[in-house]
Amino acid sequence: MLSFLVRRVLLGAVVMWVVATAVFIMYFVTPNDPARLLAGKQATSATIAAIRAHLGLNRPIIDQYGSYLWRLLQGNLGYSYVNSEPVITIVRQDLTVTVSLAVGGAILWFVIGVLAGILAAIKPRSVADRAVTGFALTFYSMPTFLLGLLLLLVFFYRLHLAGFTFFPAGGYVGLSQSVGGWARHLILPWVTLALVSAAVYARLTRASMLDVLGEDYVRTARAKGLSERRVIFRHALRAAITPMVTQFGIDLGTLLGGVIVTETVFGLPGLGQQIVNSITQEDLPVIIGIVLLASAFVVAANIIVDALYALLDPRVRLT
Amino acid sequence: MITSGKTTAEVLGTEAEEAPEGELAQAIQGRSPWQLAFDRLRHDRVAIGASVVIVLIAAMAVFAPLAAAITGHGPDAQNVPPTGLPLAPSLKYPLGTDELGRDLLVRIFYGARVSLLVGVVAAAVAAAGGAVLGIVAGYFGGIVDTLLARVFDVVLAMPYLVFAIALFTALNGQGGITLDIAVIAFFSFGAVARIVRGQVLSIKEKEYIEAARSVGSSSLRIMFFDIAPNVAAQVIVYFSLLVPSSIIFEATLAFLGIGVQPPTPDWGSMLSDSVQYYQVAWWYVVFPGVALLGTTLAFNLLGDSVRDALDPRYNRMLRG
Repeated sequence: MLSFLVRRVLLGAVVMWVVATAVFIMYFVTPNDPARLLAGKQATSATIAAIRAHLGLNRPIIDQYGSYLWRLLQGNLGYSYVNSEPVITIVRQDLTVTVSLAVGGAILWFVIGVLAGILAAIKPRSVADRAVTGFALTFYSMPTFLLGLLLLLVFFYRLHLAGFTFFPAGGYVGLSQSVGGWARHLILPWVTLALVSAAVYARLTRASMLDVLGEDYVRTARAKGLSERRVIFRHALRAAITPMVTQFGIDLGTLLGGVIVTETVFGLPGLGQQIVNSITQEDLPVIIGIVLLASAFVVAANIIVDALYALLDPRVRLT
Repeated sequence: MITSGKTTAEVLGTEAEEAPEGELAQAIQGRSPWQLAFDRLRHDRVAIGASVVIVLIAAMAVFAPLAAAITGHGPDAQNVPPTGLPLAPSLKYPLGTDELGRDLLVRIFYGARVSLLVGVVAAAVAAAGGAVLGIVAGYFGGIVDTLLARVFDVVLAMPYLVFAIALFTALNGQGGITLDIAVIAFFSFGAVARIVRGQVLSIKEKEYIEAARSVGSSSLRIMFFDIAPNVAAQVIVYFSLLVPSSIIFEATLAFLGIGVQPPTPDWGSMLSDSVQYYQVAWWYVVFPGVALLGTTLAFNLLGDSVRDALDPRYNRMLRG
């Protein structure tokens, strides 16, 4: 287990290095001038030169690259061009929103997906199966932002007109302020995030369950008189769920993409909203910080998922 | 297999009544796996329905100028409503307008161009690139394989949307559709490459590869004449499923305001603009949304059918 973890962490470190380098190349090697961005449109060339010197942009590129990496290793993401706040501070405020959205959405996504897949697999070709398959294909084909917009149109706007004002149009209420308000503001975003990805899991679970339900040990479990519920949840699901866990790890990058889009649609002040705003303001350090943080999140989550996979399925060799 | 059996029987039945023995033997001819797959596809009602939808959307893209000519306003022709709000569907504007008074019908027709172009080209580049790299990695093995496999891992582990956003901002919105295609293909080829590599690892141990080597075929020839045809079915299946996901990717980028820039009509950016007006103009959300969802759904249905046709075992496994 230990050597496996070491290997995975090393690979993770390589991924992070590649991402950091790619971002560096994108912003500091391409014909982009951060000093001009920082100085604003009215600045004189003397001001720009001064800023360039201050940022160390007139040093050799390899030198800048070295200090950039060194800075990152110390956990320093730099300062915003717009308000000079440390990027870490800005990002920390947004992180709670993003984590609330991502974790809730991911749980809902996994649970809906797996349960729907089981429902479909228990009676292949039944009405339930066809319904699940049809819904899965529709949601799978649905871009996240379109689903979000349609949910807003139906659950916020139409229901408001009908006098039912449970769902807000967007915005965010902190968990510490009001648990109910927090959940109420996040339901539609959670569902948006969950349904699109759940569709893939419903299909995967269905295929995997059908495969497992044909195995001898499932027949044995039934033959010795176990209840159907026990056979499905204790015997079949345990074996069928492992591919889903791997897929879940692979899809965390997708989850993050979904989070960005969902935040934009519902006006949630999280990392996604922040990066979109930073793009309009050309606030490079914040953009870079979020890209790095997001990558680190995906890399770390991948390692955890791989370890989890090994715990679920003892046959997996951790070499 | 079942389909082919039935067809043969039909051929036998009809031919046997009138045709002499000699022609009967001719009627039973060997059919390649590709012919069998095409035959399965031809008898798949879902595949035919999906193909019809795709052809219609392609026709929209091709005949967009015709729609502009018939309605009398081009995709960028503005007619700003006095209220500053989108106009509801009417005889003049069958699907309504956006907030600038541009005809949604015409813009949806033109939007099909971007979606189809980016979706198909990006998927083709990703599938072809992934196939080539996967074959190279699997065939050569050793250090080449280790390096390439790591590259696939790294690309798959990147949070692609965040990365795409960063890249587009770094380039200040230059690049347009070409950059769109490049970015989407770059983040999609890894999955194809991984699958192909796995298949090549087992194919290259087969006797016919050894036979090819023993008659002096070069590595290049073995890779692309002996191995490639055997992974082609998988690559085609992947290609057909990558098209809808590339279309979604493109629309998402446009929704976030990167990639295709205004005033180019694009379904993603239309939906992005509609966010501010969905409460007063349902048509602004619904029609571009239907166009986008209809396209991706049709491609996904066709992709599923293509997979069933090329790999009947997969289907049997799924049906239980």
